[in-house]
Formats: sequence, C-alpha cells, structure tokens
Amino acid sequence: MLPSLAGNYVKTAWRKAKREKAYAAINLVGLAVGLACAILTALYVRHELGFDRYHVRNDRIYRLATGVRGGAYEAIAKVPGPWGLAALKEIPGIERAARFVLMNEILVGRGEVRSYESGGMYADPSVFDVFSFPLLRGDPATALARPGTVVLTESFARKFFGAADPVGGTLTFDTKNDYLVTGIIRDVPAQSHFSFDFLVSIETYANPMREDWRWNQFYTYFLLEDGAAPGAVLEKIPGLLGRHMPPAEASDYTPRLQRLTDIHLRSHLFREIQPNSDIANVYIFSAIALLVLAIAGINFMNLTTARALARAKEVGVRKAVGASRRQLARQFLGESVFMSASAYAASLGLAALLLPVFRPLAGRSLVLFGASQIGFLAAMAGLALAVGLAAGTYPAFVLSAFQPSDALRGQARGIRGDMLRKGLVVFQFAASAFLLVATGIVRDQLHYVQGKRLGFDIEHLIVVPLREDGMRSGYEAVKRELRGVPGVISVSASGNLPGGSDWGVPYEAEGFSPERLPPMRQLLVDQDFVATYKLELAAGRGFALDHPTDATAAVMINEEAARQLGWADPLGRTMAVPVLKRGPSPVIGVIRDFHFRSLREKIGPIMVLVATPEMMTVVSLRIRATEVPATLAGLERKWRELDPAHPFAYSFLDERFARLYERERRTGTLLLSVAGLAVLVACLGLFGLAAYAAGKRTKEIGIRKSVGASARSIVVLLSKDFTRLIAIGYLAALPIVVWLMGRWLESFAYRTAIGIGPFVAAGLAVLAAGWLSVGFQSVRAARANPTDALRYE
Amino acid sequence: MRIIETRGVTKWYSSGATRTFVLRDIDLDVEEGEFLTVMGPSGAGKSTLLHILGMLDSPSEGRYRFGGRDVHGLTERELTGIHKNDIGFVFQSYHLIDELTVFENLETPLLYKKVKASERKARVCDMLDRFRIVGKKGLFPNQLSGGQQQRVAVARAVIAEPRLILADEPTGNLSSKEGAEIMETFRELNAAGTTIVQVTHSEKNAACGKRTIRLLDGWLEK
Repeated sequence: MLPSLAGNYVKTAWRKAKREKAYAAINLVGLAVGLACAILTALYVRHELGFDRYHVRNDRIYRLATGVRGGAYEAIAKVPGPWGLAALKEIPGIERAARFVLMNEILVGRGEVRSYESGGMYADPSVFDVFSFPLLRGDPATALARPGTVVLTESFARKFFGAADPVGGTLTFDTKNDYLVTGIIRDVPAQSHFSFDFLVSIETYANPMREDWRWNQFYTYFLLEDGAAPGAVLEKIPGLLGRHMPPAEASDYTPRLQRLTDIHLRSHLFREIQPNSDIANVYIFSAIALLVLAIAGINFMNLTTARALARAKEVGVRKAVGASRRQLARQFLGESVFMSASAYAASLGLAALLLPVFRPLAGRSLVLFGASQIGFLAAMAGLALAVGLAAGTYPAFVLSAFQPSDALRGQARGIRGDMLRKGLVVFQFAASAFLLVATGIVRDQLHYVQGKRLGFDIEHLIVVPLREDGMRSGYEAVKRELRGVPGVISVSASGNLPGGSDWGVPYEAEGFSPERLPPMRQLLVDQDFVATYKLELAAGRGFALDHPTDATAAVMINEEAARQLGWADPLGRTMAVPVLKRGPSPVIGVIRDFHFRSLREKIGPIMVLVATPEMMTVVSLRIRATEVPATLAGLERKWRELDPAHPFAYSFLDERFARLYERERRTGTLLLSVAGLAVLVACLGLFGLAAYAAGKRTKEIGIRKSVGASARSIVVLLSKDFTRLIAIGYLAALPIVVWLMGRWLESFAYRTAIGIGPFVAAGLAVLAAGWLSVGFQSVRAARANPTDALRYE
Repeated sequence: MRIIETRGVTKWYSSGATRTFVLRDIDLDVEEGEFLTVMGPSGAGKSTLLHILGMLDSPSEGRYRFGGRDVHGLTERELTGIHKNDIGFVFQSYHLIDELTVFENLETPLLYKKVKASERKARVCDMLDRFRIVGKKGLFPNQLSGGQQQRVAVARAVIAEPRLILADEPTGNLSSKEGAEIMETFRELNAAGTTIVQVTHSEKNAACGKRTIRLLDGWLEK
C-alpha cells in the first residue's frame, strides 16, 4: 500500500476518533481491559509452566517416589534413604543421585541475631551436580562433604552476616551446634517446586533411621545418563529392593519416577516438599481470561459494525472516486489493527498497575517488564494484533461490501448483523453472569467450610512447638507448668496435629491380612488430648494416666475406622503399628468422626495412640476466650523459664485450618475481580450499542414524542430490547454454571448445596449494570427536543 | 463516439411479493462531448438512472454499454478502474469526507490512482486555483458554505480528468448565485470536451445543456 494512502486512512481514523471520543474511548478501554486481563493471566500461566526449567539438565532429572501397600495414600514423594544410594550403585543409567531431608523449624543464631528458620534441608554433596544451583563462593565438590557444614543462599547469609564474609564463619543451630559455612549460592528461583534458605550436609543428619530400608524420609532425585530411558531405570528398582529387603517387604512398594518438570503441576503425592499447583488451575485461568478477552473482542466488533452506518457515506464516496473493495477492507482492517495496537499499549500500563494486586491473588511473584520478558511482550502484542484482526474482519467485510448507491443515500442495507450483534450481547452477558454466579458459589462454599462443625472445638486452641529435647522428655512437667498459667484451661502434648500433619504408616489389625486392610492414618497424642480438643466419644473411654498401659498398649479409633474394619464392637480388638514399635494393642475407645483434615476430603479412618516422650513435637493449649492477650503474655513469661534458649512462638489452630483453604479463597477473590472486569467491559459495549440504537431510532423517538409519548415511555421502549438480551444471556448461563460449579463442589467431600443467593445477586448485578448503561443513553434520547430529532430527516 | 448506450434498462426493488419499479425499459444513447440533462418529478427515477450510469448501482434487467464495453461483464478491478479514470461524480449533498480537509479531499482520487506525490500536489493546487478555494485548502467541509463545498466536490470530480461527469442535482442545495457558478463551470468543462450528464429540477440549469430527456414514473418520455 502506498504510504500516502495509508496517511489518508490514518487521518480519517484519527479525526473520526477525536470527533467521537466516547465511542473511541469505549472501544479502547474495553479492549485494553480485556487485553490486560489476558496479559496477567498469560504471565501467570507462563510462570506455572516454567517451573524447574532453569536446571540445565532438567530433561534428565527424575524424582523417585513410591506407593506403599497399607499406606493411607496413593504414593509418597519421599523414599527410604538407602534406596537412592543403592540405585546409583547397582542400576545402570543413573549418573548421579541427590537426596534431601526436610529440617524442622530450628533456632538459628549468630551472636545477637537469632530467629526460627524453617527453610533448611539436609542435602547430599551431589546436589550441585544434579541441580543448577551455582556456588557464588565455595567449592561445589567439597562444600557439603563433611558433617557440620552448611551452604547458605545470598539473602539468608545477609540476614545473619550482613556485609561480613560468611564463608569460614559459623552459625549456631538449636543453641548448641556450630556449623561451618562453606558456600554461598544465589537465592533459589521462585519457579521451583522446592525452595530452601540453607543446605546442611546430609552427613550431619544423625537420625538412626537414615539407613533403614523402610523409612520414607528422603526426597531422592536422579540425574539420568544422557540417553538413558527412565522406564528402563524404573523397571530395575523392584529387583533392587528385592536384593536388600525380605521379599514380602519389598513387594509392599510400587516405585515410580517423576519427571522434574512435571512435578509442580502434575504431582499431588503424600508429603510433597511444598504444596504443588495444579494443571487444572492453569486451564481454568486461561479459560476465564479467554472469556474476558472474547467479551472485549466482541465489543469491539459489535461497536465497529454498529457504527458502520455512520461511515456508509464515506464508503460510498471512496467507491465513487475509485477505491476498490479490497482497499476499503484493508483500510478498515487497518483501523482495527491500529486500535488494537493502541489498546495493547494501554493494556500494558493497566497490567502494570494491576500487577501488585494480582500477585498475591496468584500467589506468585510475577514480573511484567524486563529483559527476559521481551519474547513474552512480543507474543502478547501478537495476541493483541490477532484480536484486532479477528474482531476487525467482520466489520471490514460489512463496510466494504456496501452498495455505493445505498451508502450514499444513507441507507446501509448491507448491515444485516442485527441478529449477530444481539447474539453477541447475549453471549457477553451470559459470560458475565456465569462468572458472577461462580464467584458467589465459591464464596458460599468457603463460608460453609469455615462455619462447619469439625467434631472438635477449634476455637481458642493455641499450638506451641516443643524444640528442646528436655522439653520433650519432660513434657509432663512442662504441661503442668503451663496449666498453672492463668487463663489456660487444659494442655495436651502430641506428635502431630489435626489439620493435615497426621501420619499414614502401615499397621496391622486383628483378623486382617495386610492386603485387605483399609488405609489408616495416625495421630500421636497424650492422655489429655481428647479432653483438650473436646472430642466426643462414641464408645469406651479416652487415654488416662491412671491406666499405665495406655501409654504403651492401647489405641483409640474413630467411627469410620470401625466401619471400614467391619467391627460392630471394636472395644478390645487389637491393632499394631510396627514402624512405631507398637505391638498388638486393644482398642479402648471409639471417637466420634471429626474432621482432622480439610473438608475437601471425606473423613477417613484414623487411629490415635499415645506417643513416646521423644516423639512429642508440640503442645496444644485450650485457653479462656476472655483475656487472650494476658494469657499469651503469661505463657510467654512461663516459657522463658522453661526453655530460655528458644523464644516463645505460637499459632492458633483455627488459623492453621483456615490456611487449608487458602487456594479456594484466592480463587474466589480472583473470580470476583475478573467477573467485575467482565461486567464492566460488557457494560461498556452495551453503553455504546445503546447509543447507536438510540441514534438509529432518533426519528422514531421524535415522531412518538410529537404524538404525545412521555419521556418515561421512551426510556422503557429503548431499554426493553436490551433487558431482554440481558435476561436471555443470564438464563443461558444458568445451566452451564450449575453444571460446572456442581463439579467444582464435588472436589469437596463436604459441600454446601447450590443456593438461590448467588443467582439472585448475579441477576440483579447484571440487570442493574445493564440498565445503568442503557438507561443513560435512553434518558438522553428521550429528553431530546422532538423537532431536533425530526429535522435530521 | 458513443460513450453511453443502454437498452431496456429496468430497475426494481422487491419487497415481499411485490416489485416496485423505479426504471422501466430505458434506451439511452449519449455521445462523447454531449451535455445531457435528465429532468422529471421527484421519484421519477432520475437518481437511480444516474447511479446506474455511474455503475454505483446495477440494473435489474437490460444492457448497458460504457465506451463500447458491456458493463455487466466487467470485473471489480475494471469497474474500480472506470471509477478512478473515466467518471467523476457530483452529488446534491456534496458528499465530501468530513474528516478530511479540502486539500485531502481533492487528493483522495489521485491517491487511489497512485499518482506520485509531487504531481499530486501540483494537480491539487491547480484545482484549488481554478475553483478559487486556495484559501480554504486547510479547512474541513463543515467549515465551508454549501456553495464552497460544492465547488470542492466539482473539483474533486474533475481532478482525475474523467471523460464523463455525472451530476445529481448539483445546485439543489445552493443559492441561485452559487448554482450559476457551478453551471458555468460545467459549461466550460463541456466546452473542453468532457461529457456531462446532469439531473436537475431547474429549467434554467437544463438550458445549459445541449439536450434534455424527461423521466416520469420510471419511463423515458419520447
């Protein structure tokens, strides 16, 4: 195309836009909002898909996980320590193996600087061979070779060493162990399925179970040799286990290999290092963004087509002076592309503004601008261009197809798109209503989940970790001391807690062969647990100090366990847990079912045992609802006496439970914001269309008014059509939203019924928004002087 | 040489089962260099005839030869070529592009003809001079009087040096003085060899032409 002709087009488009600012602004803002939405989502999706790819050899790294017969899960993400080492030695195709063990939260100190740190892992020296964590200081070959050595990330080092050189310095762990800092690495990138602040050499890990072939405690990663098939490696692992374990034990395991880059989105095993994301989230996000983008694109298309009438004359003139149809189509398509390019620029600004709000919703640290983002931004520009072309093609086609003689007479018989336009409005409002109703249902479910009675009293329970060996072995004395603090009602020590930290180790039950046992979870508690948590008993009694054998030879189960074991009268039946060195012990009590995990899961069978003192990790305290701050202050004073080395740190159990639904809460907020945007964009479009419709009916309105129609009847006349479209859109959305959200709710074992509330609210919202947009235009048209309207003829 | 030749040209619009006839069986010959006036009451089909002659519309029936070529068989490209090179239009309501200045309006046909920038400028300036609108070249159509707008429109029709000018009531919205000026221009163009077909209600305008035909209810009066 000749540049001069292009200049002619640009002038026309630009001056037209300047003259009709409202129309141009609606088009631009609508498209920009849609694009911003798409950009943010694409940012998130790209982030999610890019996990663990910064490891140079990511295509050769696999994690060893395993299913365990009798385990209360499909598979566990960690395996016994010797597996990885033996596999490296005996199975061809494995170049390196690196293992991690999570460290419990631990007090780390250097001089005056002391804090609880939960970002530690024990790691094999080979971690630097398998993964790409380049050392800024130190020698990767030796950094983690000896016991008592630690490698820090940059920001962790800065926290404790400030500007001083950390390498060669020491950090004090748990007030008594000094570890030598042997290396510094860059902070672990955010796109990692696991992250840490510091690595302690695995030789330091002194647990006697580390050589046990059955103790699942080591996250084990293999770097396969170039060209080695993971399937071939996996095939040999059962044989390996058979060589080192009794055959009956070896056959309990079904090992599996997971590709490193699949873990973040597709692995949902028991005991993941950190909770993973879900590919479904990626799909849902993408679908919603596409929906909003479609709404925006439709606006663009609708408005441009509707405005075609106003450009009919120009088309006629251009045709008369010799423009070909193709040149005209190109002109109008060019305008669309120009518009989408402007919208893209605006959407970048908008996305940058929204990013700080979006980041916490996505739960990710996302970056929009930067050198590494050039490809992404170019791709988004491509998307904007595609939307411009897609949305501009139809109007360009319609406009360029005008019969010049009609166009010059100001009639545009070429425009037959009324049905299409209406259909698109229906679609927009269906999508908006869908998102609004979905938001409402998510909120209802969250409300339900948090309001549901759990089967124990979750309020005013605080949880304090036991950090000192002496505190664990002397836990009875500690409990006594804490109970003496004013405001404390009762105290219980335990090895784990309701809310997801229950165990799922193999067990035995009277009269069952191992393969017929239902999966069972374990809580390890003390004699005050049932009372402190206010659990209800269905039969028998709770653990008691005056029954000395309760500590070593008694179990409690919940009703579900009794049901699944088929025991009508469980009392006196015996169960055993070999891993915990617990021989056959009689059931002394049955607890009414309670929610010890998220309400997403159905209450499963669980057994409760009294833990040995060294297994106690935490105390739970029920405190009086009044004077909570005073009680906490008293507890802190008491704690300083009991364990001066470890500062007092506590959490409320109900807050820990609320965190189980963090993802749902974020989804809910996100849906609400997106739904809001969708409604906004749809209303912008409606606003423009209403202006057009009112304009087209100017003469009709003039005539009606000249024969005595009231302004009110005119408003009703003009709003009626759009109200019908909104209503149709809303109704069309109902079956889809009921079906889809029904499926979403099914991911919760315990769920609210879909109520009328979200539907009423969403219906009112779209109607109100629609009426506002249409009403403004209608009132303006209705108020106009009839002679003005008629003079246009 | 004969520039226009129609045989049995008929135009109707259907609405439902009924047909509304606008033109019936028109046989019309126009020689190169003629100045033809089409007259007739409102609704007689004058504008439709002009649009068909200008290939802005097509007949429902009948044959139309332009410059010896059958219009019916023309490709879109050839049709566009005729609009670019051979025909200039002048309309009652001027039909300038509102977003373009006088200069840019005049330039538009030349852009479609892919005339080079330097020549384009020279020809536009030439037209501005000739139609005494030099002072208006930077203004937009809505800043001009009706007569000025029509002068721009005529200049635009002429700038591509067409063989045929089709004018649809060119003076209908103008004062008598402005109208007279436009008619004078047409007479000059015709004297220089341009064929002109105008539609008008005004006997005075018709007197400028060399021949007059009359339409009534779509029929050509003999």
